[in-house]
Formats: sequence, structure tokens, C-alpha cells
Amino acid sequence: MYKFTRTLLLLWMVGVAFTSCRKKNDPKPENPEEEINRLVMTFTPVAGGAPIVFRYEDLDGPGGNAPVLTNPPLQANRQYNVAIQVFKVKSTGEVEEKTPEVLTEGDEHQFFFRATAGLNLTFSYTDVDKNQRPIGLSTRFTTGNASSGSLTVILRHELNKAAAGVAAGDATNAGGETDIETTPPFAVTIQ
Amino acid sequence: MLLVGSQRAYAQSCTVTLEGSVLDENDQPVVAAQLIILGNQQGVITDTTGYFRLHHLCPHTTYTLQITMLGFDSQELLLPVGHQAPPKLQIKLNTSSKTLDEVTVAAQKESDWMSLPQQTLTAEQLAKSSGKPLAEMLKEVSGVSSLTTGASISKPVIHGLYSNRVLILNNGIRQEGQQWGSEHAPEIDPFVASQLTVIKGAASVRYGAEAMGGVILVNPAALPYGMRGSGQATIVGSSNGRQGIFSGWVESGFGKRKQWAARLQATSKNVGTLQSPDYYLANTAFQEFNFSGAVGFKQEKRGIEIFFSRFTTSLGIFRAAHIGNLTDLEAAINSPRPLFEGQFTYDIANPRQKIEHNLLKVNAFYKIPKLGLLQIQYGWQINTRQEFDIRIGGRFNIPALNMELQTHTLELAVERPSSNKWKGSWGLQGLLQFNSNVPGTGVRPLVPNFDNYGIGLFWTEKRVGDKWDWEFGLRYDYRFLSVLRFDTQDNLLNPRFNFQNISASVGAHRHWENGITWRNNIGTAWRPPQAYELYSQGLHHGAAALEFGDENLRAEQAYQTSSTWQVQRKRIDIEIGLYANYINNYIFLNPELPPALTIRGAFPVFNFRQTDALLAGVDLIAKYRFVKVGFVQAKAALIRARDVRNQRFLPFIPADRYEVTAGCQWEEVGQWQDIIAAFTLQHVLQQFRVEPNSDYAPPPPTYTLLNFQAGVTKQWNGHRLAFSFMVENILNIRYRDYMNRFRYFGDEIGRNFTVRLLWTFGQKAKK
Repeated sequence: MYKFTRTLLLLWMVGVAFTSCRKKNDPKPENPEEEINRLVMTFTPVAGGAPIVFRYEDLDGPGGNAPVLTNPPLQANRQYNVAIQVFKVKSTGEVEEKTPEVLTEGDEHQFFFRATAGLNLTFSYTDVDKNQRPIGLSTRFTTGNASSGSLTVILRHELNKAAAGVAAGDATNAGGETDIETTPPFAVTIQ
Repeated sequence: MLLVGSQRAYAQSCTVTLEGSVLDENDQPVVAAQLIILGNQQGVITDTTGYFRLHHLCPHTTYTLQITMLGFDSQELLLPVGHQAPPKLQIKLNTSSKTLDEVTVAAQKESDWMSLPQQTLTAEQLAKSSGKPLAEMLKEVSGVSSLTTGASISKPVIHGLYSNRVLILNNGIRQEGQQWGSEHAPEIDPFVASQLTVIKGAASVRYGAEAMGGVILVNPAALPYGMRGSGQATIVGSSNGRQGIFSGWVESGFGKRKQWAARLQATSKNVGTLQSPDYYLANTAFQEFNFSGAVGFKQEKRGIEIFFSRFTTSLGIFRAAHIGNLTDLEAAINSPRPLFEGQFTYDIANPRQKIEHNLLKVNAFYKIPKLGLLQIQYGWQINTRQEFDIRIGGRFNIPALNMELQTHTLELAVERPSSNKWKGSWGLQGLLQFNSNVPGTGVRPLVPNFDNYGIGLFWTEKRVGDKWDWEFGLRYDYRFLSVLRFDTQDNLLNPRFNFQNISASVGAHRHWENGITWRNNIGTAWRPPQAYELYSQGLHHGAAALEFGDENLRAEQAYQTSSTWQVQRKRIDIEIGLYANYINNYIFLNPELPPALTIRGAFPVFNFRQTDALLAGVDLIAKYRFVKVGFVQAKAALIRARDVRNQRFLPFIPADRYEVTAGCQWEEVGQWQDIIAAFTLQHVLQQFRVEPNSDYAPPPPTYTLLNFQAGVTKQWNGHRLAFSFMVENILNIRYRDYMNRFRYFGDEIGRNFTVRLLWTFGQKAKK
């Protein structure tokens, strides 16, 4: 009986020992590296002149405060070389550029641009991935007559880049998963 | 008869009572039949209703019961008495002739809470669906359905409740994985079990918090003390997914008097891409490897057993269901075929889950004169879960979710020696649990780190009367939860919570000698909110939703009542169960406007809220036997669920489900035994009881499936071979189910042929 009780007691002690061995270090916050929270779109006039910079920022991530957008007006009947950069701004204020990650996996990514009807804005891709298909980090935008509307910038991941219309910038058949879809869209004025 | 196991039948410590009735072929009671336990010569005589009761049986002992009556063939019946009250026996005697049919034991193994509706799947029934996930096997029980995530993840749903509202006891230990997630299947190898019991109803009093919808008992066979060696090998092959499943066990008693016993068991499962009628479901392959071992020592007054099991799986998540935002979801819903179409492969790509679950259990019993039977049980579980997502920047092999959950459980229970028809037990249950996120995922954890401590004290009493059996239970629980989390500015916070609760249950159970049983129960159950519900914060990948916890959530409190009628006759078995479950402070995810605008697009916002829910329903099962070999079985399960505070329907409640099976069954034809051939028709209605515009897409329409199964067994000296063949979805119907979380993205799997071979050898091969 005593022997048995001792065995039981020992079992319980072993249990307690297991729990007390546990490390009690405080956790460290994770840095959500892929959570892109700043997108910068630089419109450089082909004919020369100061670049126009569009910026989309949502530093506190999904939920919380609404995203902040900057979109100065574009000039009518011009051509612009457009470069897109994406960033992760950490809570410490440190900025990490994520554009190279998209470029490295260029064959799995593609940007699309959706302008509302009435906005006289067209685009064409000027870069290619290893399969000679567009990525969209570099594009050329052409403005028409003065007008206004909105522009949504979309980045798709693991899409079907060979599908009909995709290389021309139509996302309808692209499938894949959306990494970026600027919501709300940029409010564009062409003057 | 090969086992005359009337060991150690000393009356003082042996308190199990067995009851039953003896009937003739026409279900008429056999009066004054004599029942004798061979070996100790304890005997009784049936009363005028054929009823008998045998007292002072020892637990964990196999008896041989001899039934004799003038004018009838005498019978010998092997009677394994477990640890709990044995099933009620129904013994049928044949009028004297030369034919020696087997004694029909039309009885079910019951748990120690008999006033609640419950059903047990025996080893024979489990063999028919062996190789399937636990939740799919349990669907055999009326009132149990499953919540699935694609074709590879399946969770049991009892009376409309699931996840943290259903408790699974794996070999007596409460299974503690990350069960809050509806895409997290129970980490259990069903091949470990020799029987599965589902208690449908609030059984908190005995099993603790979370036993609201019900309890699933996964019980391995008792260790083979006093027996020679046996073993079993199972091979299952299925056409859909080109699955191959191998499982087996070996066991034996050993030592001078075979007071030692051991068992080893292992399972391997390999499933390739599953196929709907029209296309492959990309990335639905999965693999599983599990093993377990047990060793025990048992004497009359004391015993100890050690059990270890390890479950490992790697499973693919249906690729087409992985979406970025609401736009992608709409595109997926509007596309008639999945936007990703796969090919057949055994390879698993991202998104995928890698899960490991280890369980170490030590249990011991000691019979203390005056006090009763003392049982102590300790369980240690380590659950690791890694989820790999589709990520950029070469992070494919860095898990996006990486959690380790450690749980220690301890139970001390004392079964009082029965006195004056009263039988009781009391005890204490302890829980220590630690959840930690393994650093380095590069993703904010979905569930924060936490420590969870719990203690419960329970007391149950049972009064066995002449007509009515009564059950009473009372329980006190205390839970402490300490959370370590970061807010959006990465400040470390340490909120703490205390919860306590008293649960109670009263039940009555009556058995009439003409085969009618009536079970009634009123009980309460509770569940403290989970860390996930309190602190979930952010994007739930794959669900395309932003989910926010609420740290002001209170514990859920359930009040439940059920009433079950069971009729067992020669030709007909009927069971009708009615239940109602009122849950105060029911926690659910409520969609709220406006949607959140993010750089990834628009996302619907869901907040954890509380309301009062009422779930009520009927389970029905009826079986009719005719012309000796024919049978028809019908099942129905209907549930109605309302959010009574807001007068709305509750989401994710199984639709009405009907099932009819018709076939033939022969016990013996020539050298073959247990021959069966049957067709099953499953009819699942569309879930009409949903709030308009509360879902991305309307619930899928009604569907009907046709299945077929056939089986045969052959026995020869020391071997038993059971072969069965099954076709599911014979007509290759294209359908979707409301309870599949991926119903927006693809069809359910198509036609599937399965072949099963089960070879048993050694002592257990001779029934």
C-alpha cells in the first residue's frame, strides 16, 4: 500500500517537474515581413520634367485606421514611365523595400491597373520575366484629354500568366491570389 | 469456448452488476431459466418476465455464463466485464434441436452515464469504414455529422455543435489540440480504437468543460491479460486519390501468470490528389503515420498501464480555396470550375499543414477496502502544428503558423463500493496547459501565447432501482487563463482571466422487459472562452476575413434536456431521440459592416459576439428485419437552431439528413460467415434556414448519393479473414455540402471504390 502510494506520488511529482521545466521567456513580437503597407508609384514624364508620385499607405495594417492616399494630378496628353515600389514599414519606423522580392519571383507575379470608364488613361508593360511575360513593375502610362476617375493597382500572385488577355493587362482570366488591391483606389485627375 | 476466465471472483471488491433478459425465438420471456457463472458457481434464475440480475462481478474479468432451461438448447456465453457497468444483455434461447445457433447478444456497450442518448460503434462496425478519418466514421451515428474543409479535413459535429463544444476523450484523456480552428481535424488515429462511443448531450458533469454538444470516447481494447498472442493487419485501398492504408497491431499477455500484457500498433496512410466527378481537386493529397504502444500489469487489487501514441500528418489544403481577398472569392464563386485545376500526384504543395500529436498516459488502479476503487490517470500531450502558406520572397518553407501546445491532465477518481442500490464515484481533475508560438514565422500569431490552468471536482451517484435507474451529478470547475499578447503597437500585454462554474445533471433510465428503454436527462454544461475568441486579431488566411476577438467575452452556459425511446424487438429496432439545448452567451463570429479597406483589397469584418442560442432536434434510427436475411434501416437527423436574442438563424448548422440502407445479411453460408450486401441512399436537403444575404453564396442544393457495400468473413484454425468492398457515390454525382467550408471553390469527391482486407490471427481470431 505504502509502496503503491509512493508510486502515485512520484508520478504526480514527475508531472509537476515537466511543467516547471518550461522556459518562461517573454515572447518577441513577429515582424510580418510580407505585409506590404506602402506602395509608391512614380510617374516620370517621358518628355522630361519633375516626376509625379502616387502613394498608398496603411501602416497599422488591416482594420484600425483607414489607408492614406496621395495622388497629385497628371498632365493631359502625356506619356509617363511608371515605376512601382513596395515597402514594409515596421512598427519601429524602419523601412524595408520589398520590390526585389516581387522582381525575383517575377514569373509568379503581375501587376494590373484598372481605370474606371471615363478616365482617359491607358498603360502598357515595359518589363518582362524570365518567360518573356510582363511583370508590371515598369510600365508606360498614356494620358488623354482632361478627365477624372479612379485607378486600382492590383498585384496577383501564382496567377496563370499564359491565360488569354493577361499579357495585355486584363486580369479577367488570370486567377491567382491577390497580394495587393489598392482599396480605396487612387482618385486620379488628368488636367 | 476457449476462455474460462473466472479469475478472482472475491465478492468484497467486486461490485459490478449485470442485468439482462432471456427470451425465446418469438421474443417471449423464458421464465425460470438458470444462469450460472462457470468457475464460481454463482447463479440466478430468471423471473416471470425473463429478467435477471447478477451481482458482485469483478471488473476487468472475463466470465463464462451458462444458460440452461428445459426444452431449450443450453448456451455458453463469454462475458467480458469492463471497468464500467456492462451492457444489458438480451439472451435468446433456441428450442431444443440439433442446430446450435450462436447466442445473440443484442446489446450495446454503455458508458457510465446511461441517461444520455448514446451510441457505440463496435470493432465490427468500425471495420466497415476503416481507413476513414475519425469524423467520417462517426457519421454512422445518427445525429452526428461533420464539418469539413475540403476533402482532407473533417471534424465531428454532434447535434449542431463542434470544435470547442465537443469533447474527445482519447483513451480516457481529453484530447487537447488546436481544436478551436474549424480547419483543424482531431489528431487521432481511429485504428487505435476498438470501439467509438458518442454521448450526444451535455456530459460536463463527468468530463468537464466543453462537453456541451457531446463527448466522443475513443477506446482501445482492454490489454490482453491472461491471454496468448494475437494480431491483426488491415489493408485498405481506394480508387479516389489512389489511397493505400496499412494498419496493424500485435498483442499478448506475458509473465508467469500472464498478469502482464502489451500491445503495439501502427498505421500508415497515403492519399493522392482526390477527384471530383469533373476534375482533380488540386493539392488534396495527404499522408499520415501513427503508432502506439501499451504495456500493463494487473493484479486483483492493483494495476498500472502505460500508453504512448504518436500521430503525424502532412496534408495539402485545396489550392483553389486559397484566395487573397473578396474579389478573388467572388471570382472563385462565379467560376464553374476551380481556378486551379490539379493533376494526380502524391506530392503536397503549399498551402499545407504539418501536425504532430504525442500522448503519454499512465493510469493505475488500487482497491482500497472501505474507500472503494481508486483510479489515477495522468496524461501528457504535446501538439505541434505548422501551417505553410503561399508566401513571397522564398518563404515557402517557413511556417506561417507554428504553435506548440503542451497539456498535462491528471484525474483521481474513487468508485465507492455499492451499497443499497446506490453506486457513486467522486474525484478530481486537473489541467495544466501551455500554448506557445514558435518565433520566426514572420506572421503575427493568430492565437497568442497562453497558460491555462484548470481544476474540477465531481461527484456522481447512481441508484439502481427495480424499474427506474436514477443518476445524479454535480461538478465544480475553476479555470485560470493568463495570456501573453502584443497589441498593434507591439506592446506586450498580460491579461488574466478567472472562470468558475457549477454544473449539474439529473437522469432517469428505465428498461422494460419487452425490450423498451427510456432515457431522460436534464443537465448543464459550460465552456470558458478560448484565447482565440478573446484575442484573435487580423486576417484569417483562406477564410478571406478579418477576425477580431473580444476580451470581454464571458463563459458559455448550456442547459440541456433529452429524451430517448429505444425499442428492441426480434424484427424491429427503433430509437427516437429528442433534445433541446439552450446556450446562454453562445460565442459566434458575427459579420459586421463596413468591410475593412486594406492594401490587399476589401475584407469583410467578423467580430466575436455573444448571444443566446437554442438548438433542438430529433434523431431517428429504425431497423427492420424480414425473411431471415433481409433488412432495411432508416436514419434521420433534423436540427433547428436559432439565435433567440436577435431572432435569427445560426450559421453552419447541418441541413436535414435522411439515410436508407437495404440489404441482406447471412450469419453463415457454408464455410463463409458474416456475409452482407447492402445499398445505402443518402439524402441531404439544402439548408434553407439561413439568414438572407448572410453568406457569400447561397447554400448548395439538395443532393442524393447512392452507396454500396458487401463483405464476407472466413475463419480457419487460428485465423480470420474479413474482406469487404464498397462503392461510394456510385452515380458519380456532382454535389456540394453546406458543411464544407470550401463549398465555394469546388465539388465534393466523386465515385470511390474501396477494398478492405482484415486479417486477424492468434487467440482473438477465434471468436
